[in-house]
Amino acid sequence: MASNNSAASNAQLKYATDYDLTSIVLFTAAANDSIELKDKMVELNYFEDVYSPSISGKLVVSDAIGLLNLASINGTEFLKIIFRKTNDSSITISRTFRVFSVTDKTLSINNNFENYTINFCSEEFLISQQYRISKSYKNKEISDIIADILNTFLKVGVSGSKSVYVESTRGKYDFILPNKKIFETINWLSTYAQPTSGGSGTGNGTGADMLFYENVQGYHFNSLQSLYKQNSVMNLYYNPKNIRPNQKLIDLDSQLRNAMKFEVLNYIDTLGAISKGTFSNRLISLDILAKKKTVTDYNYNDYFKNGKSLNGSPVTNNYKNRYDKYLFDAPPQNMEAGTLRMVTSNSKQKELPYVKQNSDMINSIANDIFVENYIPNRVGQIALANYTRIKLTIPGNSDLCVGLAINFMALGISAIPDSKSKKDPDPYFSGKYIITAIRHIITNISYITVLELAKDSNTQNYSGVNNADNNWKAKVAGGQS
Amino acid sequence: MDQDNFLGAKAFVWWVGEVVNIADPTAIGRCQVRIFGHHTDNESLLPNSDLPWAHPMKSINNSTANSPLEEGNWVVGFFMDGHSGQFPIMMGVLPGLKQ
Repeated sequence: MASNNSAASNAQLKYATDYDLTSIVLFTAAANDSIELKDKMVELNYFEDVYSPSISGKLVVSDAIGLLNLASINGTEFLKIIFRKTNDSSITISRTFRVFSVTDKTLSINNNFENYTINFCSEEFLISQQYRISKSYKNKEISDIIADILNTFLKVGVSGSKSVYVESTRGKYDFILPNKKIFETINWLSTYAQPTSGGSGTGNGTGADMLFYENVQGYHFNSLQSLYKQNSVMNLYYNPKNIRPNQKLIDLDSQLRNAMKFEVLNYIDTLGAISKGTFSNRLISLDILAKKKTVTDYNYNDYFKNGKSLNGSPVTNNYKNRYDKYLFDAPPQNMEAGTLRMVTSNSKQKELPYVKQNSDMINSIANDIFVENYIPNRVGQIALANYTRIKLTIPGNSDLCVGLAINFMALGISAIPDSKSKKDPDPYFSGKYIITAIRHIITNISYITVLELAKDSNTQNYSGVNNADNNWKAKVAGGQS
Repeated sequence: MDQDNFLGAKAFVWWVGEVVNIADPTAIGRCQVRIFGHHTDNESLLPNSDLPWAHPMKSINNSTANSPLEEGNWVVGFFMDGHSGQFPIMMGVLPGLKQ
């Protein structure tokens, strides 16, 4: 977990981008088993992503001794990396990876050295690509199935291996794993899963926002709702030096919290959100055994009122369209929903009167997979989780990893105030975010961390309109005059 | 329309499998089928009793008669849920030479 770095704990830091790269060791069958690559490193990149099941990275090497041949490198080696921020309180990232390819090999003009990139990932990713699984689970919770897959097929979560954190899910399922690769299977199961402790979604159950990812702490199977409930581990700012005149040099502690670069990846995009079903989506489900068709509508407003959000205020206002409908309303009677899905259902088949009369028949009916709950909610929740996405470049910070929450404050756009006052924060960019991707970049001279952050809500409501007001109606009637 | 999640719009995943149980408690002609390539042959991982009940797709000219399927028959069908493979439908039998 990230700590609030005090000035005292930063005693060993001279510059905000200082780092301690302890070692990069390549374990290989030749060359006395192991080779230290630290002095050959040009750049080290380490990636985590909350939508990816595995950590990966790239090591750019400048090689003057012909290491590829000398060490018989063939893409099956192990690579151990140990680094951290220089200050004592920082977490050390120490992981062993598998090399999976060598790319971008270029030779210098005078043939004195060559550059190449060693690409690596967690070994579990290679194992996952190597094998498929087909196995039946009867009357099991999805969290139990995923824990079993991790233990049995990936050999993690057992003694001496990586840690595994699995959040419990509700409902018991009869699944036959459909012979997919291991991580594909877990991601497939994640789409059905509904957290035990999540907020309410559309319909009568919780949402369906489970994610499977790896970070420096281990493997995680978590709901977005549980990530939203975490406390922020750090406050970050974007406070460009040139907008506060007469300001003294920023101290080291402030530099560590101040973003060097700030980019907006996703912001206001109502059209995109409508297309993805963020505010409203419809599911038609067909039960061929009961010959029953069910229509389920997802409503962002219902979800937002009942669920947990990062910042408490919705991302849209109460504007109604010419059909007197909010963005989150179901379509008018004479039209169908723009975001429409149609799938197979087995909802409440065991409760059919004909089935209940015969115990043999009940045993031949699979447990409910709750399509009417998980599909509409997951469509809305995953899209909403990425409604506002930003990218920050900060001085390297090995304490941060994906899945953690941080507070970010961006300054609003306004005239530069006098030298004694500060600008106000931007209420729509500032707030609590989840780290959805992280990239640690270490070169010979510096260590920076690039964060991708996402939030589902704002710290402040947008202004509303009076939809009944005739002046307003006339202004937005959409005519040509 | 989300083509990945709309019946009939994408991913018509058809399969061939072997009938292992025809005793359907619902008496509508369902069979338990071990589907090649989707279901392992390892019965300790996937016992016959856990196999999904494949729903029959009957001829529109004779929709009330159950198919005369036998255990050991090879059948061809598709998954109503595409690559998820939890809802198999049987379309027909593949006759073969006697062993």
